Amino acid sequence: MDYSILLGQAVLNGLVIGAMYMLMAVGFTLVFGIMRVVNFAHGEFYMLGAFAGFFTYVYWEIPFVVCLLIAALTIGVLGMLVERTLIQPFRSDEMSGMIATLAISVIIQNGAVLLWGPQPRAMPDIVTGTLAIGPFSFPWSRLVVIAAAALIFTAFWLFMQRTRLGRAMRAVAQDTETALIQGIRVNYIYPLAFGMSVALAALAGALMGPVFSVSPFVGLTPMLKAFVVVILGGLGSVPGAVVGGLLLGMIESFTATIFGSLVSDILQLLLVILILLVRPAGLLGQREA
Amino acid sequence: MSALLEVDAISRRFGGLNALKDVSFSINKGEIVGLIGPNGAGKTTCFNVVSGVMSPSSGAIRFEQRSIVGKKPSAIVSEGLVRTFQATTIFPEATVIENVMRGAFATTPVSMLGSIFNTSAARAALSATRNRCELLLERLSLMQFRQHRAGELSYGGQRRLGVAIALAARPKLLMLDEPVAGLNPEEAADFGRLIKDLHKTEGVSVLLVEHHMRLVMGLCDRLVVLDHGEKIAEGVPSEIRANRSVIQAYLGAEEAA
Amino acid sequence: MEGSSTATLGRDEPRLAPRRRWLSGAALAVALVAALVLPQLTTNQFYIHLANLMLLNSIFAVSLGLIASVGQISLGHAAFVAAGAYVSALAALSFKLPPILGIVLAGLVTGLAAVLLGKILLRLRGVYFVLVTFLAGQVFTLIVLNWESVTHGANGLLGIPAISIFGLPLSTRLRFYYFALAAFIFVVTFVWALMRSQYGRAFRSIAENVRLAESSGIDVSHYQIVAFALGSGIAGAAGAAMVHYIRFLSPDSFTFNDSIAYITMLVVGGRHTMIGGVLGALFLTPLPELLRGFVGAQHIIYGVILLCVLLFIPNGLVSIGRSFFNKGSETGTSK
Repeated sequence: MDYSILLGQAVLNGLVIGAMYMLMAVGFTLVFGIMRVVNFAHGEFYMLGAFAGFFTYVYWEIPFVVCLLIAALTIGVLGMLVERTLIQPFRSDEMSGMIATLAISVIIQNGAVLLWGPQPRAMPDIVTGTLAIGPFSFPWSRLVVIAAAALIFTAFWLFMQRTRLGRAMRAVAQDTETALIQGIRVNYIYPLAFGMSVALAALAGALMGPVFSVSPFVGLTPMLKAFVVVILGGLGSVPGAVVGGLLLGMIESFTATIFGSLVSDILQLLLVILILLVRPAGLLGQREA
Repeated sequence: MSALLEVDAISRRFGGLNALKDVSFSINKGEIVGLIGPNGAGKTTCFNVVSGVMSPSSGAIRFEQRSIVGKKPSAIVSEGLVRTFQATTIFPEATVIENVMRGAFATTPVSMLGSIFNTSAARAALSATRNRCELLLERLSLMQFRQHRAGELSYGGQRRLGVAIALAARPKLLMLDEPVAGLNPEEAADFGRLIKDLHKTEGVSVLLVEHHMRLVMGLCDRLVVLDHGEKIAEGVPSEIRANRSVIQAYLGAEEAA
Repeated sequence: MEGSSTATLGRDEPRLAPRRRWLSGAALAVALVAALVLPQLTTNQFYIHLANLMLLNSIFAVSLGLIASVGQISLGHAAFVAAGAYVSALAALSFKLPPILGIVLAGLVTGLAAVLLGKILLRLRGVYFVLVTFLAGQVFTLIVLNWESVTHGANGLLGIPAISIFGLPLSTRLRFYYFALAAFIFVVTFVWALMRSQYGRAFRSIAENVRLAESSGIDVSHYQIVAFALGSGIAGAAGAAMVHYIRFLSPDSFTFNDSIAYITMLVVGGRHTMIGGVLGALFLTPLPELLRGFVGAQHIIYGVILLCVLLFIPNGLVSIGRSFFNKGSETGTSK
């Protein structure tokens, strides 16, 4: 048994899953930080992204990058519509908003079952071959996922830091009232933020399509993990989501390799509870009175 | 005569910041004491520490000679130390009388089980408490709003309700957190008279944090002055008014502003 | 000027005018008689089965409502139901424990588990609490699925005995109906009395203003745990009762979809009242059965109804009835 090979595999898988978790968590925490909405339908947008990627890549046979763009745009726009019609009415009522997103998730998931059937569909790898470094061989398809996620996040980060719109969003996240006084149009920011958030989820779904399969039920687990990451990293903290996502990916990869996936899942939950006992705001979370 | 409340060298740190440093003072039975100081002096932190909302980093707090450090706020209320809050002072959805009944929760002599079974003893205890609460509403000129939703009251009315809720807990020491903030001069003066009345009729000692100087000077027997987390002066209002370091502290704050 | 010198327990509001009290009392009496007599008039087992489900779902929804009364939403409620079911089923199968005792045991075990979990979880701010209950529910399902030596995993447990009362097995739908009806009346009466008592006063205070509640001498964490433990314990006991009726149990019996269903019932009926849970259960339980022809539509319809209620009738079906009787605004429970 060559442990170094196992280690290399575990690291690679950890990075792949971690990349996905990171994208999911960043989107999820973005919406909470700006709008104080817990979006239980987040996983379903991931699922829609997976289907968008699947259909465009398999049936239209266009370059995958274009598929990603289409997925991000269509689901992003869908997200904006959903926010304007279904989430905005609950701005003053956090709990009702949460339950509303639950309802939306039920509708989207079961709608997908009605439209496309419950059977999982396999998606071909977008690139074949492996990269050989020393004793390790890393499949290009996995490396591409990591690279794409890194690129996407960088673009997101630059947007938030460098553009006026991004800064406006951060202002709203920090202090909505002051942002309003400064003339920031909150009614445009909210749908935009929500759209961006679900676009990130859709991208994660599309990227992971070839890795896992595509079915109406693929959204639950990534959302679960996004929750774990966000609890660890703190609701509303983007750095927390990044660190937490990658960390969780690694923890999951290693514990699953050693103990199997069930124990890994239980360990993750115990970790969450432990951290919450010690630091109720998460590792990097915003301290709220 | 030993003090009702003894605050003994309490400090409170937030990360690297010393919000309170070695603050000591005491309150005797029957006094009205004012806690004053420029903005950021640590008055609210002091309030929060004494009422159990946060724990001191060091130091002791004794109420009726018993330590109350580390106790839950609800337990401290049972001891007889009750506070009001600046913001969100009421239960907005409940009726005014229900608000006060909730304030009286800890002092209602009913067994929890008895209240489930609606025994006659339970009914009697609740009836007596209800009468007491209605009396309080009358004292605070809120009786006519008794069945109204508390959230519908005017700002001044909500403030008075906050005091009623606190009084329902039968405090020995009532801590008022900026009771007249946001009230116009006339309402503030009325409130001051109200506190003086309640102090006499309910037999309650008072510790209040306030910025409203005229109210504080006219109402309080004694003043404790904080600046940058430390106590810089203590004495009767006339002494404090003339105290150089106090004047400096306020002027200094103004200059910096 | 209403005559309110008699103390009303638990909350302060004018007592119902004598005429309205008479009407409510009469309505209840009629409902009770109907509930007792109607099942005798039909031979269609399906309707009786549906009635049983409605009664059980009402208990699940009402117990969730109890937890919600302190302002906490639990997304893991179905896990407590399932836990109670497994405790009682396994006790009956492995230790021949009479199901009637199994139900009591299930309630105690799940209540105790809730106390322990509650001590850890209830310190969390509302949103974190919801997320963690969701996670905990998922992990519970995983454990049940994989602990095959005990739970038989996905194959489930078969041949679970029916409840026996004084030697009479409740092996028919009709017999179980009367048991379920009695349980329903017991639970509803208990929760009603609880919410009218000082407990209810404490719960509602916590839901409205935690900080002020604590500063009014209400030990917030204590009462949160009480609500959570009672709600979960009742759910566990009801889950056990259900499993001795269905007589089969698998990880699929109570899933996250059921947690969502309970929340839907509570919200649709009326979140802030106890009768809301009952109304919601009565209204929503028949739906999946009626829609069995349209595959997949059953779950979507729940989501759509939930969303519509949230948007257009936020206080639930109860509020429609309320405005019909033109009551003023008030807090807490009412019938």
